[in-house]
Amino acid sequence: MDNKIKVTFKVYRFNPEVSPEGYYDTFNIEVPDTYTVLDCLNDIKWDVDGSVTYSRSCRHGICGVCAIRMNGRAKLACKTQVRDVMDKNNAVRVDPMGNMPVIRDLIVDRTKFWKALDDVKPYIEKEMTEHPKAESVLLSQEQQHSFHETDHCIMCGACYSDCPSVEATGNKYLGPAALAKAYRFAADPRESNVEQRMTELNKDGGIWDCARCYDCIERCPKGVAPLDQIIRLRNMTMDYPGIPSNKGVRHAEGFTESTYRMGILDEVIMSLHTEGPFGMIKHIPLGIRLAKRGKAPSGPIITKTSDNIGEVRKIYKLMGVDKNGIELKNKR
Amino acid sequence: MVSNSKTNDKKLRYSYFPGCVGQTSTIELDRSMLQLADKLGIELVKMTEASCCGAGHLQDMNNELATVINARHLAYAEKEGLNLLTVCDTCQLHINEVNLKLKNDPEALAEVNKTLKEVGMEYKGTVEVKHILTALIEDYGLDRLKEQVVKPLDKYKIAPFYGCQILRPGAVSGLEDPDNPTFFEELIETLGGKTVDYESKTKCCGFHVELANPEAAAAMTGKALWQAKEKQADFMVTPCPLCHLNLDAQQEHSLHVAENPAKYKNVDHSPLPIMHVPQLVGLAVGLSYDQLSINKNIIRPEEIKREFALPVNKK
Repeated sequence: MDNKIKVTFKVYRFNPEVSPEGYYDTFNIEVPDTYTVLDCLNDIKWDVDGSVTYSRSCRHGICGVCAIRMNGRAKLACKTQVRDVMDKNNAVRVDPMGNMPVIRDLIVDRTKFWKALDDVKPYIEKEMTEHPKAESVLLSQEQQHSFHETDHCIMCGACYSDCPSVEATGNKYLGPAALAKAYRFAADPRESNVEQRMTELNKDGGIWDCARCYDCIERCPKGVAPLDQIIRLRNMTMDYPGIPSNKGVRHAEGFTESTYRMGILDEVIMSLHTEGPFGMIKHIPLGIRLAKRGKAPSGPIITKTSDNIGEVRKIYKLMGVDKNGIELKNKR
Repeated sequence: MVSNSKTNDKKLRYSYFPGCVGQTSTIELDRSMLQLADKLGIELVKMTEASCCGAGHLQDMNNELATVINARHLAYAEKEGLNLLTVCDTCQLHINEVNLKLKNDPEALAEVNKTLKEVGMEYKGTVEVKHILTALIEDYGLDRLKEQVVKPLDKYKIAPFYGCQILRPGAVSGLEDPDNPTFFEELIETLGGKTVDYESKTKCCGFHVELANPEAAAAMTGKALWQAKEKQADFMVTPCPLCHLNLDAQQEHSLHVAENPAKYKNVDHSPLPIMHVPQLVGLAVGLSYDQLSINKNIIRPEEIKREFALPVNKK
């Protein structure tokens, strides 16, 4: 038998036909403690206020339309039990997802999210001179497993909603879901245009705009782990020397070189490699602020090489990374 | 997170991984950590062999290489028979991630050891990786810490800024609910401080996108700062030197990038001081402003300077 719990729902309300400003309505409800947030919203809509507006369909975590923010975090309403998200006062604030304009109450306009997915060409581009006839293009189980996680994406938008880089770039960043999808097709052995894909993904708004906050991994209801896929795309980038260099790639190179040479990070080697001498100019004010406090970013003269640095350098060699610390340079 | 509730008089010893930024651009972190350890009777064996943890960027280049580089750190701590202590969210994540992988995957451990053997090292998988913030709670114990408090921080409203990588991914941090942590608040309250709750306390400062997209990073940092200011925090405290660098050294710029300051008419526009965890704890247990190198912070908290000018000993 279900136990009942009292929950206070604070629901975001917005109707542009009435007012450009949103507000909250509070509903005090008593529900079985096994209820999902969607069950609660249904109770509110069906029994208390029929004008509360939200999206719902499959109610078992596969259609992805019921993603909303609960106490600030985007999750699927149908897959989240209310007792797991209510605060210590048994209160749940529900808001529409972030990074997308609100249409009405909890419903958002996902155009930008869809556009990002579309931009990464979520399909295989195979160059074929003739029709493969009856022969199928085989994919081994192992190959399929290499991008298996990304196939689970239901495109609910929860990761996109809560991604700080999407917010900070004003939606210029493609976002976690689209990049996870991009990895899925870049890693598919049947794909013909991998280098071209990687080139596009290395442009502004692509893989190097991820801030590594890991929010997307926590948000995803399906275990897609978008950040892990973004790191795989970054690793793949290093295999394509034809891709025009960019700050993200050079930053990784700078770290790799600095760790090889000094062990401990040499911020001057790293920044010079990333930005070039002219790019360093904009760091001068920060350098002055640090210097005023008698601090300096580590540099070639003042940074003491880590003890037993020979071990680090030997590990690089054993791992097949060249003596400049930059595997890539050989290939470029 | 479970605090060690019994008063534990056992002397704590760690292999201390100071991190790169903690020894340079935020040198006050290393100095205050050493002072605090001395005061609390925690013995730190500094890992002078430590290289960079890779900070995610070596991992972007070559994840296998980064795994062995961090396994080397674990092997050094294991040789000492000690757990590894970090003072940086990013070091904590990357070393702990490798540690968990090697502990749970014997094949991966064997593979890594093939390379380590070539440099005369081995890792058996016996080390735990702890951040000072969690070590104080889980190993030292909040009850024991409370007994050491001689200058409670009860005058101050303190905004905790967790940073990302001490929380997420939950699979590495081990937190059951990385979205709603309370352990930092518990530490601050143990020191007598009042905590300020604000949405961005578990959000990103943008440090790892700073070089690739500086404007985006500044917008993230600035958002957190405005929120803490709106809640009238006297200062902010963070367990991560990378967050600290953005919040402290880049504060003025970030505030302007994030929002038009004119929007915040009723908010105090003076700079918001940002403390490191060992500085905050150090003040409460009787260390002085100078001992904790707070004068090295870019934003110098003048009131703290006056209040904590002299060290205080336990009666």
